[in-house]
Amino acid sequence: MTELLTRPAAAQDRPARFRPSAAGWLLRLVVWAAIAYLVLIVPLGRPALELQDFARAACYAIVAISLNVLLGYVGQISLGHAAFVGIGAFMSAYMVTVQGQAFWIGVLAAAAIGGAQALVLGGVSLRIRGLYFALVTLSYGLVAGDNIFQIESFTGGGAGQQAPKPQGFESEWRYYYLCLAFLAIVLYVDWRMMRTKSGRALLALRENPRVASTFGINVRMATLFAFVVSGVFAGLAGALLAHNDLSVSATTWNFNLSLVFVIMTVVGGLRSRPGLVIGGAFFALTPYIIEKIPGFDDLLVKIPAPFDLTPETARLVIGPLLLLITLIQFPGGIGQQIRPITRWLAGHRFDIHDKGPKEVQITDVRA
Amino acid sequence: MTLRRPLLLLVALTLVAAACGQKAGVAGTGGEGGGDATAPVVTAGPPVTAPSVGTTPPDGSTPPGTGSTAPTGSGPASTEPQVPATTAPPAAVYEPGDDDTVGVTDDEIVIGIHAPVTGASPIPQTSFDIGKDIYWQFLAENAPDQLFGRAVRVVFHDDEFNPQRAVQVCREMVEEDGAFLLVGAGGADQITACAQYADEQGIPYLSACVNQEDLADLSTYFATSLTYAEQAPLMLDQVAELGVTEIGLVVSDTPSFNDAFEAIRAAAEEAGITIAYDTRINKTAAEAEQLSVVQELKDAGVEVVILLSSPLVFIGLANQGVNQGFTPTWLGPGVTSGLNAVTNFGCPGVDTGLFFNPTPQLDVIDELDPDFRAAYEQFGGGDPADDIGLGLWALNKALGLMLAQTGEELGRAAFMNTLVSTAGFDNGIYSPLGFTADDHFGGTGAHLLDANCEQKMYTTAAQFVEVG
Amino acid sequence: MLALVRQRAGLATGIGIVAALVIALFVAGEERALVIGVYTGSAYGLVALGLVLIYKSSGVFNFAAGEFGGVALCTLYLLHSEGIPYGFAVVGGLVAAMVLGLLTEQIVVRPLFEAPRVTLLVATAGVALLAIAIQIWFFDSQGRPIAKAFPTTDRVTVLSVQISDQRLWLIGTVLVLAVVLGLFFTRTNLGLAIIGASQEPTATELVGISVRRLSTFTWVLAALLGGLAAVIAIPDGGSFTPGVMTSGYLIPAFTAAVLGGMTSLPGAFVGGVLVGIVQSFATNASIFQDGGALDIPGTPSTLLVFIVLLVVLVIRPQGLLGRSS
Repeated sequence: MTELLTRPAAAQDRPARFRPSAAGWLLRLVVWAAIAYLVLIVPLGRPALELQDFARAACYAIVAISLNVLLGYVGQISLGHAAFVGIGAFMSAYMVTVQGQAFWIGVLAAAAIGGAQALVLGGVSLRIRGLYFALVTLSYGLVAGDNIFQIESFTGGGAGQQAPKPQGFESEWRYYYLCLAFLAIVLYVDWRMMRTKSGRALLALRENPRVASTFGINVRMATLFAFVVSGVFAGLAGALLAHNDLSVSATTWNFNLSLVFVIMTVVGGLRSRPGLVIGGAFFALTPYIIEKIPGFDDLLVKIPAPFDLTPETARLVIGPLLLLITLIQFPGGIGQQIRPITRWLAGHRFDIHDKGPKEVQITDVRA
Repeated sequence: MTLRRPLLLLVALTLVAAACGQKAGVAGTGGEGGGDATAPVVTAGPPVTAPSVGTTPPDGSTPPGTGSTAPTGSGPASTEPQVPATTAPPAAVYEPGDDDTVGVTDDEIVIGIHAPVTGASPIPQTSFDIGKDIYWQFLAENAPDQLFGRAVRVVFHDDEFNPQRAVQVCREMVEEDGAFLLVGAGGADQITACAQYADEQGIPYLSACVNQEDLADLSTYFATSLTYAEQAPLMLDQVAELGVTEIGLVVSDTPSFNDAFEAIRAAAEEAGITIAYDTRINKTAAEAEQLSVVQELKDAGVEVVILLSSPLVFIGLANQGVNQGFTPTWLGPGVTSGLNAVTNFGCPGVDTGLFFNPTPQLDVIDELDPDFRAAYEQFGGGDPADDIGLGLWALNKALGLMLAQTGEELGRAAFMNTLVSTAGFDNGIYSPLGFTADDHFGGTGAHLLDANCEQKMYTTAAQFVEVG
Repeated sequence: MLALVRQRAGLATGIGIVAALVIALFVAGEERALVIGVYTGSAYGLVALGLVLIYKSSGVFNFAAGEFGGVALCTLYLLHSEGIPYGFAVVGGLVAAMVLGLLTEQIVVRPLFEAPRVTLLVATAGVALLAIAIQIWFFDSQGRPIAKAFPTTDRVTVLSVQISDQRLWLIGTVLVLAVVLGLFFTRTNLGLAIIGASQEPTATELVGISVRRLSTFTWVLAALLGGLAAVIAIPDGGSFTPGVMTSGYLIPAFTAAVLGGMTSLPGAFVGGVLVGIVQSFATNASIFQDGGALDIPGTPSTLLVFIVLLVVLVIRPQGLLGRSS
């Protein structure tokens, strides 16, 4: 009888925190080293222009993380993210070329304007939700391309604005490392942010705003905060992209690019940092990868007319096919699929069935 | 994954290069092209004192007061008439840099071309892929010594109708593919962007010319056709010939076309023609905008509209016009609008189109250069010769003459020096080109093309219409 | 009673905004923008009908709505150029569109039934991009001519804007469909079932209605609408290029749908007309031109559509004719 009244099982019944064995640590270390080698050393052996592609991959990863803040944390769809990134690109190019400032000032200005712009849009989003907000961002993206980026004094004439590389980082490999460094910083900030109270508030917000507010979370401030962070990351990525390409023009930042950004974020996997990085990098490198497949061009030529394909058209066809296959098979994106591996690398047990926390989608896109 | 706004077609290809030593008629005997190409530089050449191009056709008479065509104030002796092609041009405006002979080996010269194949204004790629090599194949077979035993390899990249991307691919062509010189096939903004890059690197860059403003200061840029602004007087002459005194003016709203817009207005004023309505139309105007512009033009009651826009906008405007019972003559400096792809799907609206073009159309090419079709039969792999191929042929032929004129010691500096010190280049298809150190806009004339919806093609209404 | 007044007040606000706009146009001397608005906006409206249909039934923004039409158009072109009479070619095109709708629903939408709506948006975007890529593949990125079904171009002239037979058919089709579909969703059992299925799928199944069958029906119907939009509207311009439906019509249609209220079918037409009016006004009004008082850099119509969108959504977040959730 008294047993029934005793307190529930004490701490010893809770499963002990998993700690890898020495061999486990060693193995993880080896894999980490391999990844580091792949990312840091292997590119150095490649021709300079390829490093440009790799730097772009790092920048796209930053964009994915930026977009994930809106898509994954806040739960708002942004179909105009190319504008956020583009305005950062132009701002940095403007500061460096027209105003004669240093690269770092340009980057700072880019991040600032990205954040400011996002703040304004975030203010708008407080009243307008879901799909309607998606359209507002889409429309804003078009305005950026058609109006803001046509302001000649800011964006240069039709041929765009020049954006030379910063001093000390002129060579491609140094710039690549610079982009990697920024990516690391962004990842870290994103990680810390989500561990703070505001960060957790955001996640609560996404699941159910009304309940979140009853817990004393300032819904408004949390949302605006997220927007600003997203904008700052995007502006930063824009600045890096601008100096990577050495020039910026308005045509680049179109709706198509915004769509690519959303696709790569979703395919990468919302709320999964490794997934986002891989998703962004993959989409940036798709043309590069296709080019490098041995014998691809020859294969295309063999296809008889009228079905013959050029490499560019092949890319156009393969991309969406891959996208559809990925989405249908893996709605959680790459991040979800590699979750067992990433958790293992972070020091947890390797669990092949780990699909991540079950998501509750209550308020989704409906207005 | 391109999803660009109106996927347009036709980008201006023509790259006019100077030809050397050929008179218009002589070029027709291209069978011995190899021999003729190394003929002495034509004596008559454009007077080069003024920056604007006011040239006279090479009819054998020496232009007033210009025995020499050396760049003014450049120092060394000017090229004499009859100088044999093998001596290097004495005018040394350009100094060789470290990468002077990139893209040149004993066996090969590499040329890089960029053009939009995807994006807002794509060219039919298959036409391009085949056409870009045919002249060089022809030359290798018929006149292998013209380029001193070197074959020409053309590398091509898609610039996606995006200036940012154009700079990228130009870099790739130079750094990865090792291009000796660069060619821009079309798209004013892309051309300007890449030309700026080429200028910084000291790489010769040629293109059919479009805008003037941003390109005038670049030292390695050479325009191989008349600029839009330069064609303004030609257009206004045509307006006068059509017998109207009031016109409409529609120009795409991009900064690159500003100088053209102003030039046309100035030319109209000078010619005493009133512009009853003018507007800068969105580069990728939607139906509502096209219709609005058509309504305004209709209200103004004009019979001729000078149009400077992408082909898709032209087709849109023209067909909206037909729907509204408004069918003026659409006149413009075309290049892309003058391609047969436009008549392929732009009829019936485009039937009243009249466009100037550096190259004539297929209907007269046999008289000007019978080698063209013959080469296509031999090397085209069964594909019929089309006007894009013609543009490429003319371009390559001109390039071939320029390269030959430079001589065996081929380098970037030598090439550019040759360009500015040779009196004229005439490949028989373009109006002759002439460059000087002060004036890199080498075009002297254009052909007038007339759209013909019955035959679904453009015909050549007037050949070698020249400025001044 | 109060609810009725509030509902009517909502509608009155919507009508009020529209009326104010009309008056402003007349005052500014740009009344022709009204005609052009109806002229071009009807095309946007027809595509928007398909968007609203899908949204009402599954909460998805169907990005492939444009390309349902694109496929219809290409099929029409291919059949007609093979010598098949125009009428049959049109039917063939509509069938092709419906097949695409069916395939999309079966292959893409079904597996992602439970997925977040943004995943579905991306998936339909994938369908659209694939459809466009295939068009580019076959047509080499080049445009193709396409003849009108009805050649008369000046059947009616309003404020000196000639309206062709083809265009009248388009306007008529949109109006009729908007009304019919509106009634369908409020008065018929099937329509109500679709709405019910979107809001309470489990309950709908319990009542014995197959949610899956409804989904298939809705997507095929939406594809048919998209196909109609393309085959009626595009030939009026005489030609088409690969991807024209998405690049030229999808985004204005989306704007139209939202302006009208994403849940209102008549609203789709009203929204379309509004977008057309704003575009036309922005293009012609001299204050926006270079040198005008409000010289807008770049394209005025893009900015103006954005401003109108913001204003409408801020004043009436559910759209002009939408019901507040």
